Amino acid sequence: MDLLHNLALGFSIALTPFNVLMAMVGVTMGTLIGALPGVGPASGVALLLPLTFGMSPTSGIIMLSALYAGSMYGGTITSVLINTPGESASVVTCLDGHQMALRGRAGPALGMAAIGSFLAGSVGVVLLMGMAPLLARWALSFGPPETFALMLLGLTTVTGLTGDHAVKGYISMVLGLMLSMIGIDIVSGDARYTAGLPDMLDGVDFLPVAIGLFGMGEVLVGAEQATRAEILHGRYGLRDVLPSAADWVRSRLAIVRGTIIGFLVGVLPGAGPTIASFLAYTVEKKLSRHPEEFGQGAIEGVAAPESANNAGSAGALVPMLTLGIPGSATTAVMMGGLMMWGLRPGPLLFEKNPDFVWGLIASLYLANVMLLVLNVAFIPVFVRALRVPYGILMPLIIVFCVTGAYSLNNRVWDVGQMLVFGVLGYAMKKLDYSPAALTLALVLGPLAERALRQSLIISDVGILILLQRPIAATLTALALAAVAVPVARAVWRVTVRRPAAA
Amino acid sequence: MLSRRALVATALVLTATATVTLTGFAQGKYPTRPIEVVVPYAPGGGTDNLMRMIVSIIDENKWSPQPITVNNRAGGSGAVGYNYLVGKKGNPHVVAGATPFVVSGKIQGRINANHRDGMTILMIVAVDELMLSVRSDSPYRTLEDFVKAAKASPAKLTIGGTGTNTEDHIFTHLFEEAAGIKVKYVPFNSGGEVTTALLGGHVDAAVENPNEVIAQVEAGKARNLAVAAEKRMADAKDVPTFAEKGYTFYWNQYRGVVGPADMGAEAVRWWQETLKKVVTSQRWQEAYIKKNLLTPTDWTGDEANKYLDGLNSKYEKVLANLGAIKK
Repeated sequence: MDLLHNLALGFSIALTPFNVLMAMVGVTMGTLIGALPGVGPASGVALLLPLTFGMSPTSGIIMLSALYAGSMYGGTITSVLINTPGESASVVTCLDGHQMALRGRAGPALGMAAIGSFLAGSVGVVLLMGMAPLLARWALSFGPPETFALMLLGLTTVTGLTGDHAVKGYISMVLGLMLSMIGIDIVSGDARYTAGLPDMLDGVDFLPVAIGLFGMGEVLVGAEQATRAEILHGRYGLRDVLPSAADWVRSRLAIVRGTIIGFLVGVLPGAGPTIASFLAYTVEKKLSRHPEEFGQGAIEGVAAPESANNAGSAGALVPMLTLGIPGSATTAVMMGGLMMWGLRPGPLLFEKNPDFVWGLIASLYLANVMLLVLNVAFIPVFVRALRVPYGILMPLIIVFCVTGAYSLNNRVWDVGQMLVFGVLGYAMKKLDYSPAALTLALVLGPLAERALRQSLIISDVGILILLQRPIAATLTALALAAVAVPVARAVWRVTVRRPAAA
Repeated sequence: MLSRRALVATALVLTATATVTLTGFAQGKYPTRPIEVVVPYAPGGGTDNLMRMIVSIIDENKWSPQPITVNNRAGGSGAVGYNYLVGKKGNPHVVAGATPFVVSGKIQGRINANHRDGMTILMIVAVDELMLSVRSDSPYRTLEDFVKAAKASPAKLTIGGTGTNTEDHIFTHLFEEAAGIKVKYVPFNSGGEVTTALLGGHVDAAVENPNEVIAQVEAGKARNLAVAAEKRMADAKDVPTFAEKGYTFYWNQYRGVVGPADMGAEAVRWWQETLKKVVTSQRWQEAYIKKNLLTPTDWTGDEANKYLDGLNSKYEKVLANLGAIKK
């Protein structure tokens, strides 16, 4: 009853003409910001923040959260079309999304991403509405040991990102972990492997690496192939670009799982939509009946991470609204906005400012509907971009990659980093090493290391703290099983079955 | 419908105005070009909020004839942004948000210069206190409880804070010295993560800025044991100081605005006057100082430089103790 009452209050606020307009501005800007490599949701929100000062806080947060949701949709577009992730949560979408585009199926990839995003985003808002306080308490039970165990599990799923070569997958992962060690060590405060360069103090930033490995790497590989454009020709009516019935059957469970994983990971402190999208993808591949199709244009490989990053962005609002603690970089900027509008985010926000909180929640429903319409309607337009001859498209992609890398922190250093990793991406592709495994390790590595070392400081029993706490112990056991089971199976095959067959 | 003649006339007037405005700028006073405000940290942090607040107050009052843009140049805990500023020597159209890293950065060899040899401090606008906080169901009701427990089992209790060799870390070190105890300091990546770990019971206590924890205290989820200030905070009178409990140490974080070296007297004066208008505005007092429970200041010139000198010698001593200065 209360819930319905509150939701009615929320919609009465969200549906005022001005707030609807603000939501529309937000989703449109968000889609653009998401699509432009480099400018991510956090800097997008920071850019638009000054515009909100003349408004009521509710209108302001409606615009900003619509932007956040929009950026999760928009990031997909460049991932699919030109293999260049628009923001970090869309990196993993490149793997199958761009393969689909190369097979002339960019339309269904974008369509499935939009629909999956819509479903996940909407379910995410329902969960946010109904279970926020409960989930916040669950998130608090995730201390450093639990976080480390989760990251460990994430790293062991790395084989899910690689093709037939498990060993090459692990080599890529270790390379990623080594790169993630660069920078100021949070425990000692010392600079590691920085060669005395101040630009290295923060380590290797993940997004320029991803833009380089995927976007630039793709351009370099493409430059070798004379023509590529003709496979992309085809029909581009609205009906031709929507997912088929078969696509649906394959993707429905991926969307469900992606939503659940995305939301739960989004709620956790310090994790966020990017990690959610990686985990959803690897889980989907593990559970799939035809894992060999992943990386070759499997539509589940688009549906799962795209659902996860949208559900994750809704999840990231949970700690902000219930505890007053930002769960991600973007929500940190939003919290700054909340304070400038004169609100104090904290556990009492729901009680003290119900019109604000429920107006926000209602507007998120609205934003998701708008985004679905916007994205599906424009798919034919986006897909036509692929008709641009490759000789023209390629330089454009390079421009995208360079400006994207620069706009991250306004520094040329990131452009250099992007170029270096572009060359590496080319080499890895040629030699069949997995760029995705490297990026996964680069995302999870710093979190895993920090959580492990925090755990060891807190612990009085050393590493055994991982087994002392139920959640951490379960996750650690799963991670060990993920490594041990394939090994045991291989050993079994070699020692038991082969002699018997001989 | 405008006639053709009217159009031509309008165009002429517009051109004339533009010419006047342009020459006005060319001969006129500072600022003569768009101003870049550098935030050496990622969006969403304390310095980011501060500088966006200042710029928004200047904008809404139209105090600057030139546009001001905020650029986040994050990296190396501020090193990238401050080194960028130091490199803008003589350019009065670039300023940055100032944190204690302006002095501690040089001591640790991360920034090439400090407020004396490569930057111009324009104003110190506020002081942010640091407090020791616990969960509300913590067995440590008071600071004495905590110290007693820490003495009973040395190097067992944990205190969470942001980063290593940072203000939070130094706070913990000074508290250990003053109380004669030993604790385990657990570094986290951000203030939000520290508060999460505190509320989840993963650390026994945490170093918090008032604005990071006050909402939790209001909601009955956390309790402040003491503040490292010389006197109690105006808006949190019930929180005792460490000194009055007999563990004397003072430690806080200032916030301000800094420019490059050789900005020119005119630019420095413009910033001092404009910032003075900002910090006396009602919006600043209400939406920034009161909301964040800060102590307002308006130190400029010698006063600000001497404050930073004092801070510099404190940092030199403490960072040497912590082994953060490499010989």
